[in-house]
Amino acid sequence: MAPTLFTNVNILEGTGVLPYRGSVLVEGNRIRQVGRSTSAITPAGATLIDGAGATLMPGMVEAHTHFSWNDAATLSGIQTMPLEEHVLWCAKVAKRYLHAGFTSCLGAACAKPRLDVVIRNAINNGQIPGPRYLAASQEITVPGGLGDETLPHLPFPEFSFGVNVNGAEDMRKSVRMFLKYGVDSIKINLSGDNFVPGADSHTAWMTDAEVAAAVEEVKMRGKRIIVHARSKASIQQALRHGIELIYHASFTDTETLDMMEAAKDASSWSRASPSYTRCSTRASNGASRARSPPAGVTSWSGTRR
Amino acid sequence: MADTLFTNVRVFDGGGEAPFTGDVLVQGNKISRVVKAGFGQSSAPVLGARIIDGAGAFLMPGMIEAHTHFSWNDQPTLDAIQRMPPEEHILWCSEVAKKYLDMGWTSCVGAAAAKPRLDVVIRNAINDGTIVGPRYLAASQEITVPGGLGDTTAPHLPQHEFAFGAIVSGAEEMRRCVRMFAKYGVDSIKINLSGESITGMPSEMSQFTSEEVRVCVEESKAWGKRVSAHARSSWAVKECIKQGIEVIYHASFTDAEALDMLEANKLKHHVAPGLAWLINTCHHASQWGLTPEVTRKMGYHRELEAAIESMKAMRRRGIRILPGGDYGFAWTPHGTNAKDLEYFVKFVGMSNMEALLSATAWGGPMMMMGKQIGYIREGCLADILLVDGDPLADITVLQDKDRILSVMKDGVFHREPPVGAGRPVRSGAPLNATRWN
Repeated sequence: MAPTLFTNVNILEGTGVLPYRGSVLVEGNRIRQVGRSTSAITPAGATLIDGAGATLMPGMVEAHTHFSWNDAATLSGIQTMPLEEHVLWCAKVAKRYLHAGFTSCLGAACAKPRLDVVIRNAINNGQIPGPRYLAASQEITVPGGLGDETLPHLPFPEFSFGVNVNGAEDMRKSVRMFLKYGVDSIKINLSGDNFVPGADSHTAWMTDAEVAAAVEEVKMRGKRIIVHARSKASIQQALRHGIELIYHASFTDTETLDMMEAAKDASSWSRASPSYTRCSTRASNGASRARSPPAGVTSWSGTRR
Repeated sequence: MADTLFTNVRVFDGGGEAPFTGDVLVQGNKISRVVKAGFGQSSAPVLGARIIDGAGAFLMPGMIEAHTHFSWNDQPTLDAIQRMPPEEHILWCSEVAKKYLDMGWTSCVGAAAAKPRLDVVIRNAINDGTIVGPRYLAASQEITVPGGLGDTTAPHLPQHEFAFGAIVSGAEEMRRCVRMFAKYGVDSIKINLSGESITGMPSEMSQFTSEEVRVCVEESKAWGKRVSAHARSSWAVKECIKQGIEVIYHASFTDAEALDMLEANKLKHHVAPGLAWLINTCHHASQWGLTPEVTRKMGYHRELEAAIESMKAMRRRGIRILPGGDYGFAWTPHGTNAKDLEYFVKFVGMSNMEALLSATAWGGPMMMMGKQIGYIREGCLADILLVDGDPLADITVLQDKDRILSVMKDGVFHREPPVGAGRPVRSGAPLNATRWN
């Protein structure tokens, strides 16, 4: 592969420094040189791309991706897509993310056990185009909780969007199954969600024993655990268990925010993947977004090195 | 979608005559004009049409593969095909579908899938634009009997998920099985009427009772589905004709009675021998432990000789033989399908012209599309190949992807002709070009 030289571009480094004119040389899969000169010398054989003043920036990283959500209105509408169609859907969506500038995506749960793993592998072996991807498990939940889409007269696990567990040993078994399948992260639902009847965002349901079993299994295998946590109780539960990636965090109070702040630099969580964002919040409405610090400033969701 | 005018091409139109120099106009998804012209003499451009100067390249109909298994995964055993998990398997099928189009096969007839819905899902995904692939007829799994070809369950692992085929015993189980595949939306039902030596059941042996076969055909017809059969034995070939099974795969062993029956019904049936499987299993599978000694013991060398004699006899009787060689095993990898045409010339005694017709004009009925495909004629669907070289002089040029300069399916380029290097492609005429108006 010939080197590529971008000249005459506005470089946004990703460090918070204002963009500047310059040129960027790519060799192999690495950025070799970033220069402030707009008339850089082209290395022999390089493909020269004159940016004509365009902004050159790092590929974007999506922190909460569900390739297998199929733009349906309900969880059941996602779940009832047959397996074969679902895989092709995921392949199509993976390409869409790349085209939209997201060169990396963190899987935040998939709708059937192996979808994320298979898509990650297919991207990595060049079978389909897609961003760098971390494969997640299905959402692990409890009967009646967010993700349990079985009906009383149809109790079969195949009808369920998430995986239902009851008790620490059940949790351990479920986590082990997903680790066997090859996921990068295990997703557990610690709180409800307002669109789920009888299990709104303020509901929290997992016992500490269940969460501890999941965390123990995941850490033992060097994987990451990620949680759906909207309520205060669920956020605090995640923090108590040293869970590094918290999705949503919609409802917080001073006590919860103090706990989050105290934990933001905690390094004890980061053994599995030190180079990734340790903590990430995903604002779900205007109110919580307003609580986030302005971009470019040290923030709860910022990357640390 | 821009219209396309191919100029300066040698047109092989599927009619069986020598190619002529001329122009072909594609408007929408159809061929709207085919004219003869002197070499180098361009006809008047058409407003808004993109002009492709073929510089003397060979223009022919997209090819039609009569025996396709997208889900065979280039492995050496049925078990190894079956063991691929469904998620990986569907991605594999999608990759293979594109490969066929790459190699100039714009239509393929599914001859069986390795899991119940693979073919149907791929056909639908091609049709709705989710993936890229040829026109496709979706098949069921192979329907077989316990212990027959396609039953890959083990005595201690009897679960049907381990089976490559769908296993039935008795007329009512057959009926239920056909209904299930019809429900899934297949275009055709595949039934294994004979054995296959590599599986331990010799090719000359037959399986199923006539009553089971009758129910299979009856139920398939009731749902408007076509039936195709794996029929290597003489009994199996005759059973196809007696029971109205339209597609006869293999037909290696035929006696005079079978040939007479076939000849008397030659317009009702399609025969695709799948010679690639026999030839390569006999001679090119040593790497996988199938040395010529081993395959001779299995009976494949005798079968290959019998199959060649059968095909020669059929050719003499005017029975059309179609390409499609069971590609998708380790020693017959996907994408090498045009070798079938070479085999037809080399072993069956076809002329290059006949071999080319077998992959084009003869394939339309096999695709259940009559004369809409397989021809370069006004009103036909625009499935068009541009080839560097003359397949009528050397049929093997179709095996080389680099020689297939471009592939058009349904009026849209899957692969555009290369620009420059002696094969100039002029860009589309601007609508207000004064030169022509």
